[in-house]
Amino acid sequence: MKTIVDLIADLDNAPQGKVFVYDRRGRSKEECSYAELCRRARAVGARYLEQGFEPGEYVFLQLPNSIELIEGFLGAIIVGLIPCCLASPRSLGGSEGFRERMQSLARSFPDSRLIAHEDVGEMAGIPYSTPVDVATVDLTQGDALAPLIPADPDSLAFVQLTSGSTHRPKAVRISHRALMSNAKNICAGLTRGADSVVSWLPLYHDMGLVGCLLCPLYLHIDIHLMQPEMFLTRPEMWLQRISDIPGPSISNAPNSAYQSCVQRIRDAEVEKLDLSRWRIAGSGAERVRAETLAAFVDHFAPAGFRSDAFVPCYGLAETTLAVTYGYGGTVPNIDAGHVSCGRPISETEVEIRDAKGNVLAEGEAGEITVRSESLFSGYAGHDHPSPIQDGWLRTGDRGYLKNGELYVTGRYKDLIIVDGVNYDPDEFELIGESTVEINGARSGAFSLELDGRERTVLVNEITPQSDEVYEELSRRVGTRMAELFGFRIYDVRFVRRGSLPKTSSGKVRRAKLRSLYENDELETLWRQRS
Amino acid sequence: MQKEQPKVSRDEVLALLGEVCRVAPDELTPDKHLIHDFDLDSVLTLELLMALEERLGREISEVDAAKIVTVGDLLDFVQVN
Repeated sequence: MKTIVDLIADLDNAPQGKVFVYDRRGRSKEECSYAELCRRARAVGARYLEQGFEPGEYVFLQLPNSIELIEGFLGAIIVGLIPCCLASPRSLGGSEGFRERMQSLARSFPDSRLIAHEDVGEMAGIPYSTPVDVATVDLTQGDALAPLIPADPDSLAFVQLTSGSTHRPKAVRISHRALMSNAKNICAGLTRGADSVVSWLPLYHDMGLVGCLLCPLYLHIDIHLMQPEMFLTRPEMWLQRISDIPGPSISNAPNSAYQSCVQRIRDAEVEKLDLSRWRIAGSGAERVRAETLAAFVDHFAPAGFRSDAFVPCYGLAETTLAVTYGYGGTVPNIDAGHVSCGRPISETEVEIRDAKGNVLAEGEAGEITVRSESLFSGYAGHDHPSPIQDGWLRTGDRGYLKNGELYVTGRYKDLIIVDGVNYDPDEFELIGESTVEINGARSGAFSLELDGRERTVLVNEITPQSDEVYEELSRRVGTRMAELFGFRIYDVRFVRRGSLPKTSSGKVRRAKLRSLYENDELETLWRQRS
Repeated sequence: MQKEQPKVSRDEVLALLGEVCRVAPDELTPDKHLIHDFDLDSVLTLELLMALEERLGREISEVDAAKIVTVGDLLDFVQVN
């Protein structure tokens, strides 16, 4: 199989594989066999063309985890459209932020379509189409189904949005070749038809889309697809699903999800679970912490959870998904408190480099760089500089290799991750600068880790004002952040104009700013938090 | 048209909100911003919505939820539903 179209065609040969979908309260909602999914996706593809969608256009899917989303995504690929799953509107007070995100997207991608249900589409305030209703299509009529025409392996298959939700969207372009290489090599140690996958990860996230949808489809194994909201409110229902499946299962989640299970699932509930058949508990998308692994093993040992089921892994959207992956059966190595993320998958190499690009020896920490068949094909949406140099992707993450295994220890890039969503700090800085509104006054944003949660700080340059003005500006920044991004900013500070540390070209040095803040060396005019 | 009594009273909503946000009911003035003033994160937000859904006996759509920014918006929403 060379392309995703081949992968979709092959679903017809998997009559036993099925997708099961559960609602926000964890109740069974719908199911679909892979053979039927293949037909439904083809029907959707045909309907897209009838509606005048042109191959090469982007199709943004704003839908919850559902069969409708999966067939909408696969159907687009079949007919040469480029699908992209979008994050849902934030649950409370997200209306304003959602509208801005959608309008920013429409500006950055003029040749694009939005697919959403009517109420969400209206809220977006841009033209949209409702999802194709497959129930109105006779799936036995061949001419209602788009033909499965082989695609060029180097053509674009889909995009994943990584950051820049309100400003300068960063859309990672993934070719058929990149996806197929990543899927093949992630699945290399797994057996067709053998396991089931359980996932509540959203499909707009690489680990949800590639790891928990496309890989299982490639493997013809069952998918139990749950809602992210269900996990947030009732984390025990995730583990209950794994417990209820009679055969072996695979389920992946970020470190914070394992941590939240330990904190929120009580002993009485643990006793009701049987996690002995949970064969691979993948942990990725966030730094894997040794304390979390130990606490999870300890907490869920009474339910039969085995420490050798943990599979820490490392990856990023720019490598489609995985750089390293493992298959369980051995307890992850821990070195100086850092958890091993295992070895690179096939067709993927890792080198650690210093700031000048020199390759470092084993055990020396530096920037993680990756060469792989799964590398992305550049960014879309905005002219972001390419992080690929001489075929090697500079990940912006820090780590080292030991005995061929990768240990991730931090990051160099100025990225802020809150509740699993990546933000470019300039999205927040823009809010500071547009609120202060003084020509040439800059803002600097960075994050701090407090109680295992990333919290955001914004430091703004200003000319001295009264306390009432600082108070008012700080409130405006805070409410704007809450409306656009759905979380509270941890601290807002004001400093004298010109006093933020900057590079010679005038860019704010955020790492330096953070260290000044942490050591209380910032000359502050006003602070929200004492 | 006959005016129906709201299923959930104002006081019930405030009590629930106070419990979820861990603040005293007298701090819950209508102009307060739910996320900025009470630091509601995604988990607490969903807990609040699901508890409200149980009391209202129906699902709250994501679009309705997205329009609720302040304590006052929340009270208005419950009033008409």
